[in-house]
Amino acid sequence: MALKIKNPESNKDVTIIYLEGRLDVHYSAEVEEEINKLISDGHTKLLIDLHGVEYLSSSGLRIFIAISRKLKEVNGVLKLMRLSETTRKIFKIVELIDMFDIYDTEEDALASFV
Amino acid sequence: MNKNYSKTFEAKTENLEQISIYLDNILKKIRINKEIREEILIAVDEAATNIIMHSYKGKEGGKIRVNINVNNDKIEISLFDNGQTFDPSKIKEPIFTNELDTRKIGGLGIFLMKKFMDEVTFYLKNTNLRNENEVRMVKYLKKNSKEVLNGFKNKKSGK
Repeated sequence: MALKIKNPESNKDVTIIYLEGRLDVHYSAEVEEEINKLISDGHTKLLIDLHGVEYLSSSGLRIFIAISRKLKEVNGVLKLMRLSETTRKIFKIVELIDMFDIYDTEEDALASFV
Repeated sequence: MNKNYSKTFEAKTENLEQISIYLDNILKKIRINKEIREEILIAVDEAATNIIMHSYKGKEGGKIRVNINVNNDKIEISLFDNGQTFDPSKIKEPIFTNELDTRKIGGLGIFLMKKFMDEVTFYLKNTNLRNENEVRMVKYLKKNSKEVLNGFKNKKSGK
């Protein structure tokens, strides 16, 4: 699992997190810790790109719930983008699909941050 | 067709990917399509995670044996372990609330296993003379014939 971070020129308030690889129980804790650090450092408008996530387990799903709650405490916001078909299916099955702001493109996702 | 495969892995989270690769290679070899393969891989990953985290409680030294039986009707995958008995019936079904704040985080693993497989059965150690825990997951091929059996049909007809 790799995690890359970018603050786009068009909206420097937003932190884009690109996840790549498997988001299983082994890597989930690591990823959650990294994202929690970012939040503690003041990155509170997060956009997570799931295009490179080849596998998402229930442990991975828990991260998004936990991060969302953490961001709410600091008036932050979490949006997701570019879910693969399988990832989208998992979000739907566990009825999380309507609880997150999910976008198909980076452009649309960035435009949604006010 | 009736094929059996078996491999034993050390029960640690680093090996989840290896279990997945092992299983995926077999499913590819028998020409199961991507969508069904992914569903099976998710179910097995959740089952293996439960063994590592609950049966062995994250302690190293335990083993997981993965047995796969494939015939024309179904794929049956069993994971065996010798850890503590983990009774999944004690895990409550997740309650899906409309608010993330009140959403319970636990129980999603078994829920996904049941969603993606046609049958999921837990056999607990020390019951009916069993000396291992077993979680047995079945995916019926005929039930999913259009999606799954293309590979078999093509192979049979030589296409």
